[in-house]
Amino acid sequence: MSDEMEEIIADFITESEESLDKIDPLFIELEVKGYDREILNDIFRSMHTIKGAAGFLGFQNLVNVAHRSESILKKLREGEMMLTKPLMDVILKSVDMLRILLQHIKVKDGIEEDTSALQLELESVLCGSPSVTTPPEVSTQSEAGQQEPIHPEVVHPEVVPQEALHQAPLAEPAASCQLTAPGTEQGAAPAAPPVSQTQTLRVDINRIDKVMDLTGEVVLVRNRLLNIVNYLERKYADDPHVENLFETVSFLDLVTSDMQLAVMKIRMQPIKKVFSKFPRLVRDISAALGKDVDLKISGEDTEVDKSVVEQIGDPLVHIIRNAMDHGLEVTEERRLKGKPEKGTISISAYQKGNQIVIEVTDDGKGINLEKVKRKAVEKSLISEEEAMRMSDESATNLIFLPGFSTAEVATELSGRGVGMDVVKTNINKLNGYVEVTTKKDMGSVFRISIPLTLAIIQTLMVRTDSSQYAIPLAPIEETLKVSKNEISYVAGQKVMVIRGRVHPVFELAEMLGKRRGNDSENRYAVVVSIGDRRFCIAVDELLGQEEVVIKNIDGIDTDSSYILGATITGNGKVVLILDLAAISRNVLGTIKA
Amino acid sequence: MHDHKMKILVVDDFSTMRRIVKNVLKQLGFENIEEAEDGAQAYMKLKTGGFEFVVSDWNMPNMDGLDLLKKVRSDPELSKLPILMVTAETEKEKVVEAIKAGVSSYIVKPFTAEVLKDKMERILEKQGK
Repeated sequence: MSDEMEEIIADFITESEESLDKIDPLFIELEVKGYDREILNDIFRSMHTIKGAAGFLGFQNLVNVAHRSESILKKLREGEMMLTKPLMDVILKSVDMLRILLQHIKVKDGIEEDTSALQLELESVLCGSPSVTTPPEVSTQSEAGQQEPIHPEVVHPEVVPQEALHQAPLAEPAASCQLTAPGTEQGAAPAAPPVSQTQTLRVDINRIDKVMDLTGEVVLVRNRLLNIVNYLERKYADDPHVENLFETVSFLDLVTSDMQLAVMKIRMQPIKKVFSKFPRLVRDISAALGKDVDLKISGEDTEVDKSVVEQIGDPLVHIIRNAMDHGLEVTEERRLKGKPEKGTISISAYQKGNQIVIEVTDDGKGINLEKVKRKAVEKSLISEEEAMRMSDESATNLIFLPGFSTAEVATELSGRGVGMDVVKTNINKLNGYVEVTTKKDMGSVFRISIPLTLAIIQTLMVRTDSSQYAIPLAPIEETLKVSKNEISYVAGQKVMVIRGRVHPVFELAEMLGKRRGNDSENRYAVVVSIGDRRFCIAVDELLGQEEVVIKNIDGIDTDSSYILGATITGNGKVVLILDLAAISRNVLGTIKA
Repeated sequence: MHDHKMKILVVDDFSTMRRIVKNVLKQLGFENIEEAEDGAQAYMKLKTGGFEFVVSDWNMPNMDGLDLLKKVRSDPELSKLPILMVTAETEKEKVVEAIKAGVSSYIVKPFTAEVLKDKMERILEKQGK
């Protein structure tokens, strides 16, 4: 296949997926509004275009499914069919099938999905409809059977001469004149003025990342300059040149910050891309659970980094599912409590300083903390004593422990073997964190906070011997000051006991293959939690929190070196940033074996 | 075939379709091709002048292909411009409307380079007369 063709197919997949993403929310809107020609035409157009392009590219299966859905949509649009729930279901099913077919093309697995059942279903909806008039092409198809590919016959290959028009039996000259008259153009939608069009440019992501990278470099140089200028200013306060330099660097400082923001924005996309899938999700889940649910979405124009858009979907789906299954009460129970029978799930996004906050709120029964604690004790995740002393906040966080599920019987929806711990891990991967607040009979709020950009992270600066290191802050649970004798040995492994639990302890210097100097009497332990693993990293000193720009180091294998990258601090020092995920994988892997 | 420097406007709201049509036109040796996303944008481009041929999709937001056709035909500056409409097989009934509105010809998708070439030649021959 030629490169050109490959590119066209890649474009086709992206564009088709974007079109399909638009369909779901439109349908939900339609379900609320009832018949709406405009919306139906929008949906029809998406199907139609996908079919058209798929035809050119020879994706017959896509054409077949899209074609039949399109026929139904056309009838709906023309008012020849009524929109019913089963009808909507079958169209949504087609949308899902188209997504699957596109996925097969994308990953080139060569799998031929069997669409015949779906096509039959679409066909029967089409024929069984109480349609007033059946357009001829539809009946021909049903007679021909659903397996027959749709081959467009080339109709009227001849050029239609304009002069000959009046000879056409259908067209009266007067009518054609009227049609071409400008006065009859009421249907011509108001031409969008050029200014309102957003001009877009598709750019290879690598080029943008290169610019991001260089900007990070500039930021680091700026930080150094600021440091030097501050020093000079103190030392030569009276020198007009230093004054000048100070002003210039201040300006550079400002411009650099603006540039950094502008470059970051290139990678940003509205979170709408993720949120638009939720109306459909909530609709499906509420049908499956038999709970009446109102979904409120706000802040969908909030922009987040592209990788957040790609990775935040799954955790959010899990939280929503959980809120609907475990949070919201059944209608009867709500009525008894005097709450509105219809439950509400609100999803909102907003920017707060350097963080993007996403909240999922339900007005259900709240998390039963006693039950949570009991469960955690039963599963030996905590001790009886710990449960007694535990604050409400800590108890709420128990739901994020691996292997935790409060539902007595795992329901079809929430109990899929993955729990809230996966949600937490996935959000941690984005350097973010999740917190829950809950109130009995009022509901719960899941609040996810993610840094605006992944290129800048919050770190804890530590020192061991004479070297300084940065540890990403998100997976750090706590830091403790420990004296030498609190660390003991079990089978050659250093361990320490924190509130009744044994944690493995690793010397940062040893982990990085360096020889350690003498142990000082007082050490610090950084307690890290990644997935279901908790461990401590022992260091000599905690230097404080710092926001750093991550720079990749060429030529090192990050997985075996435990180094995520490097950064340059304000005073010009190069500091390595630890890769906690790699440490957890490799170092802990060896002691478990 | 005809002048390969001919400036052609491809109108479609789906960028993949524009690429496909452009690709087919390139196979026929045409290089001077511009794109528009809908009828409104197409009309604005056409008004800037220099276009000698239009290949337009039908169903588009803002201004569809039929409205673009009507607008072009009623514009004294553009009324003679050849417009080839791309349709789907389900839109046969709409073809009548397009004929009434003065479409130069139409082509059913998916089409091959040969079919497009044939259509374009016929239209341009007619023009030449």
